[in-house]
Amino acid sequence: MNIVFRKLQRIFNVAVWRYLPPCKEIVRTASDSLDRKLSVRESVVMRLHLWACLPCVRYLEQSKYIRDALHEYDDRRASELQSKVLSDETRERLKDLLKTSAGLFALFSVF
Amino acid sequence: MMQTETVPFALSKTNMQTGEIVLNQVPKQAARIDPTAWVDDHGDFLFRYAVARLRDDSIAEDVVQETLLSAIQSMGSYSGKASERTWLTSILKHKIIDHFRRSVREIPIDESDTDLSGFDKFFERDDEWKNHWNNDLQPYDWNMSPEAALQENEFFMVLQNCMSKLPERVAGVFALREMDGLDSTEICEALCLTAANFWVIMHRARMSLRRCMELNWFKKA
Repeated sequence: MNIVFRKLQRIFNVAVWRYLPPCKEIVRTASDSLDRKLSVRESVVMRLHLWACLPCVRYLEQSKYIRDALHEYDDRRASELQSKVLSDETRERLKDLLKTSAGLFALFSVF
Repeated sequence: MMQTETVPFALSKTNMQTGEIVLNQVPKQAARIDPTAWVDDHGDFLFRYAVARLRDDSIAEDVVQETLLSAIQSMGSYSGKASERTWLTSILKHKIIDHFRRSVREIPIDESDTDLSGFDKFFERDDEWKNHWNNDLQPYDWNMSPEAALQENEFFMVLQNCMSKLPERVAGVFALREMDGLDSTEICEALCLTAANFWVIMHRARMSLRRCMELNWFKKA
């Protein structure tokens, strides 16, 4: 049973490699899939290919992994900044500016 | 009061002591907004958000200032549905893109940014399977639990190092998308990129980063 299954898998793989676009194109589709919605055709072709091609599966998974890692990195950097605050001087300046502008804006909206 | 002197006629609409504005046409829940309170309520939050992305205190201050001023102008369109902070943050995001646009436009797009031929060797084979992964250069199993790697500081140093090896513009575009989580269309519009070029740049960054991480981090495992 196992042998039959493997034979079938092998036939499927060879068919995919022979008749569908090669890895070089599939990795681009895989990358695109992280940034836009694929067309049905692209999506089906990619899935069939991924079934037959472990390196391309890894490419997609590792790309997602890098995305997650960058998010994590960004969060860490953000939490390191927790101690950062606006200086009192800037704070006062902003408040003054807002009061003035709010007044001006209200003035203009009257006319 | 200095402010009263600056704007002597606005008294019917504005309480000059607090800067509080009462607008006529807006829905009730948004009718009373106090812009000066934004500074104490959200100032530090907005500032940190900006510093994390712009990496420069004084630029971040300027952008926060622009944000608050533009918030005053669009107060009428604030429905009060989103929290004040969410609303201000969304304005800040756009101001950050504006800033990025101004600075990135100065780095002209280089043809090499969208050139993928550097990766041709990854798909060179001697046998009949042209353009499939080269056996020696194909991605291999990273063989490490993803969660474990993210615990280690050294991992992020390697990642940062790999990012810095990308061409400046490629890295900038990639960070906007993957770190700031901006929409593809937002980025293309802001940076005057065609969608096709944007996707090539993203793919290029992914190919390089993936390979770089593989060689510099996962190979040790």
